[in-house]
Amino acid sequence: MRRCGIVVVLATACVLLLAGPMAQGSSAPAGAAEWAKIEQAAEQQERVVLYLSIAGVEARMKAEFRKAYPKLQLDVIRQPTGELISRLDAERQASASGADVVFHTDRGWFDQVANHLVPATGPALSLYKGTKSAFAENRYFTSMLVPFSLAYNTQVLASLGVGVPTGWQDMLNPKFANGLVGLPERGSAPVTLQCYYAIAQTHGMGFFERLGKLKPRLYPSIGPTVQSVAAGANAVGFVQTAAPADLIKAGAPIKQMVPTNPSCYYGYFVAQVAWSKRPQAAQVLLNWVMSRAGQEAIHGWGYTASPLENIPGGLDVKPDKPLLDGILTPAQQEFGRQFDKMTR
Amino acid sequence: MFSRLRSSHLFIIPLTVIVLWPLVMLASRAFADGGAGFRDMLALPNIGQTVAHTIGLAMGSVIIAVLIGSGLAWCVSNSPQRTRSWIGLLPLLPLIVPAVAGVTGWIFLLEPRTGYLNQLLRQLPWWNHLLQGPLDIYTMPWIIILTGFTLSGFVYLYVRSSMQTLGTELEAAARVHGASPLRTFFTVTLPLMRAAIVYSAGVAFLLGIGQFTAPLLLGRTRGINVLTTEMYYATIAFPVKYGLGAALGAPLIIAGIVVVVLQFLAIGEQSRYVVVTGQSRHAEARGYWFCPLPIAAFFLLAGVLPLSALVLVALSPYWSGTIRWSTLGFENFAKVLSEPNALRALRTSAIAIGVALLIVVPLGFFAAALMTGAFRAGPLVRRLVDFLITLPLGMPAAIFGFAVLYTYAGPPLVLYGTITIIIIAYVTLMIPHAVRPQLTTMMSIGKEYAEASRVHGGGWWRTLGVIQIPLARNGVAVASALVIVMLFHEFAASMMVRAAHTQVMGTLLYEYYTGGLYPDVAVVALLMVVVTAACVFAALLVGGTKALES
Repeated sequence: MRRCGIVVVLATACVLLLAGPMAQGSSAPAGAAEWAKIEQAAEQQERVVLYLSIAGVEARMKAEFRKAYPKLQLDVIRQPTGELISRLDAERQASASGADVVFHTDRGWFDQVANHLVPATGPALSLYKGTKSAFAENRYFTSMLVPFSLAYNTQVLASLGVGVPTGWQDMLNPKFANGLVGLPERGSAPVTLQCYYAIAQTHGMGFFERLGKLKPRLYPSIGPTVQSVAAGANAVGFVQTAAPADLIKAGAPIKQMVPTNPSCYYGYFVAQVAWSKRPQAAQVLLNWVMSRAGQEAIHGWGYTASPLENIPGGLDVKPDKPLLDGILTPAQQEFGRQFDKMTR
Repeated sequence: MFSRLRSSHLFIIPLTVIVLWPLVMLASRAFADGGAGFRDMLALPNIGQTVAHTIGLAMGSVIIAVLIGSGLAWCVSNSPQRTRSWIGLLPLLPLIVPAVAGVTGWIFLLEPRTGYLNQLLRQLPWWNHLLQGPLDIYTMPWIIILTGFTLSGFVYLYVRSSMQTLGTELEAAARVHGASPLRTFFTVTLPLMRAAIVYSAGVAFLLGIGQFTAPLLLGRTRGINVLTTEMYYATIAFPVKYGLGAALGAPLIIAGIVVVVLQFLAIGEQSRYVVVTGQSRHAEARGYWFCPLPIAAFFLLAGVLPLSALVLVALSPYWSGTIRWSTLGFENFAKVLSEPNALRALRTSAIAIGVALLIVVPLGFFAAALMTGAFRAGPLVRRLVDFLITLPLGMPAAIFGFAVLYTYAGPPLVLYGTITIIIIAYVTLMIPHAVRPQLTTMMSIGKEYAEASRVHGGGWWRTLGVIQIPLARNGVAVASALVIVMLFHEFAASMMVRAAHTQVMGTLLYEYYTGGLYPDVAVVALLMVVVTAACVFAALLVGGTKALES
């Protein structure tokens, strides 16, 4: 019995030793047998940690991942992208235990740390390899497409005698003065600032000057923005389509529309970090997120879109321009400073 | 030469490393690179406004805290005799509510549009035309008021304690000679309380200038920053802006030193405030009937109201200004308590507090023993120990958190993302609080028993085990309870040293808050209140009502 245990430990150690370098050095999909060994090793690591910056999908991801890998616990740390990347970089520098897989919007960060990301090797790599959704030699991937939207509280609008918003310009309604417009801070995610910039490009800088005069309320991220709209603290809020989903389900008087003047679509990117302390578990999670099963689980609720085609239930997204990538130009950075002055 | 090196000298080394080293490192970082940190600080947008907010918050909250705290102490002292013992505890009970939980509760009460209290106020005839307000929690005045509420409990403790020492004979004499209550207060009570008020105002100023919780939770939505929140933003930048954070902390360190010196100058010779008193207890037996009313109002405002709001939101499916009684339930409690992140935060809190307790209480015991002379030490050593254990009281917790992060996060120790760095911050912050109750107990015991033991051949360890520890067990128990409660409340330093994976309860609450998970925020806040109340109850069982005052 004891000998049997030793054999199992040795076999596991061999798998770990083999799988580690393979994950670091190769971007070819693993064979079925090899992948089975990685899955086995992952289950022995018991848990895997995902750093996530999108609100509203956490519970679904956990539930669906548990169905796929019942022996592997998915822990999710959710923070705004801006704060998440600071923590990630601190962990990277200290080689501290933390994230295994990251899922956020700042493509600039992924490019910057590409050498510290592990090329994917799971079976799902074949779905992305050579497509416009794979970056940095298969080190990170687009995993979600989301449009920014305008959430509104139906009861508050009714009490104010204001109609349903039809575009960004409806945030400027004078009846929304004194904090009835909710905005995420521009530093919460670079893509947020890029969308603000796109709105300013379309409507002119006067848009945010006028919005500033209404004294909008700024929140650390989209999460509290949408919650405040649901509570009735704000009449309208700048959010993304996935954010109000749970609140709508819970019966909150909240709806949303996707403005097209301009439309702001952005991507969430996913990668395995090289400083992960659970490399096989990280490989398994990354592969699951990229796989069709994972994409169906994540996007099947209808509020977000997959980069893969024909995902049942996924949001039907046809971006009319390139996705916002979170890489800020000098003009956008300067606009950010102006935005602070105008809205605070 | 080494024979002169006593254990008391060796004791100073870890104390210096724990307390002084991070501050020295931080100060040196502020001036590194030709003062680049200060240049970055001056380049911050609205830095003038940030400094003005910091000073305004400190001054404003001190005024409110001194007025409320002193008023409450006077009211308790002048309440009818039969109610005085229990009514004296009421102003302390809101201290059970951690600041982070209290502020969250007030958000649910005073959010301009959906706040429960605001909605009630809009029912009044003169405000029923308003669609929001009349009060707005996300403003500087309310940040000051709520901070003042929090600090008034500390002022109350100092002033009440002073009043109990002074007695009430002089007030009684003034009243016998025809002075009105108001005149007695201004001509007799107030001058006698000057020392306590000045001292407590100094402590409140230091706490106010280092305030972090209310400005972070309330100020962020309107861009209202203070120095400590700017320091926090320096820690979440990449790379962490240590130079900027150190420069931002420098004025707070200087303010701490200045206030301590000013306090000393203002109070001067303590003996000037001594009253010859014999039977003060029965001198003011009657009291005024109206005195319990402001105390009850404070208890209601500072404790009951925010807690009620937290309970309502915790039971609601989502935060809403409209309470639907049929939808209330315990689902959020079940959800939070089954969340791995919440359980991990609870575990991290328990480990960090537990280990910090095991380090800081014995450390406090030895410091107290040295200062009372129970263990032999020269006057210089005693003075140095006194200085080192007092220093953390003069510095905002955010400063120590930032200093610990700077000193230990990177090489050579690389403690970022570990519980160890949280423990180091906790130990540093808790040294004064671990020493004080043990010092009081040891002073009441005296050093004669220890000397007798030694005279009769008892060695150092034997004296410690058989005499010192058993006699001081009450102080040890109270110090332990105090440390547990204060660390469970701790927020500012934890925010600086936590990583995404090493959250404690307070930082988890903030995590939920920034994620917009308001019912979960309320659940965590209530959990913190329950745990704190349990610790206070345990302290009361061990040390009686004096433990609560400690």
